[in-house]
Amino acid sequence: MHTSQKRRAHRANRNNGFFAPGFGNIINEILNSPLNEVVTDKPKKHTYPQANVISQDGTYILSLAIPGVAKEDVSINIEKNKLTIKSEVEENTDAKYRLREFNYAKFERAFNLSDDVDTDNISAKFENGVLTISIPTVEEAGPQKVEIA
Amino acid sequence: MNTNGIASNPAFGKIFDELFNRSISDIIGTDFTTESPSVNIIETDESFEIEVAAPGLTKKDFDISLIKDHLIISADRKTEAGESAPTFKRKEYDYKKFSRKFRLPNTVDKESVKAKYDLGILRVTVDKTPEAKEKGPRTIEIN
Repeated sequence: MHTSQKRRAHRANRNNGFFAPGFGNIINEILNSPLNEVVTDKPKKHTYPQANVISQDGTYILSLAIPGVAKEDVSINIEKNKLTIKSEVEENTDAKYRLREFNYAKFERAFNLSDDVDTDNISAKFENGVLTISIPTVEEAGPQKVEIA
Repeated sequence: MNTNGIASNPAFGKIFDELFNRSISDIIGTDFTTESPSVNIIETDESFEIEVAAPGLTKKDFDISLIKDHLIISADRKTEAGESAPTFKRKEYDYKKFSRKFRLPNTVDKESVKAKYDLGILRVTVDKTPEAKEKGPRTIEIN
């Protein structure tokens, strides 16, 4: 590595932290914050929770990342083909935040389920801040053939 | 806001608000995967509390180290033997491997770093030095 490059890397390294002053701080904030916070340029009051969906043996497994949320505060609702997960905790904290990148106290996320979902057999568990919802699908009945008599 | 020509138009103002009060991911969808966890830092009279939102991990996946005046919080979760790679239909987060670094101010006691993992949040507490702790109001006696 070139000497000046090394020096630059060292400088970047030194400034890469929340408590670091000046430019390094801004860079760190931009690189570490979700895109929407950078774009809207204002701290978001609540965080939109992220979801992963995997498909496993005919079952969809939805994992919603809601760290810090208590199990009893989450409600899961299925209406027609819409799955809604929400929490409506009114928080009254006077904690002094030096940095606030997340707040999952209040959120709502909805998913449209496809027609082949077996809505009666949806189950959920909650572990380490991840809400996992298993959504089984039913074998779709093939197109029915009508015999011509 | 109301003196602004654009926003005073009720119809347009509504759209404007709708767009800007929502995160961009609500509109365009989150088609990228977040790999760096979000962090809150709370200051109390006694300490700083760093909350790292890294759901879905276990205690042993984390590594917290102190190098000079930097606190480095990282995770590296190895795929367990026999664990097959799942087929993702949608992948918005993946906190299996990350590193975040914080420069500690001089006002903290570096020996006091404590951490616990609960509900998907890693809470790292760093105590302030006795000199930096906020002291309550006190009365000075006049001799």
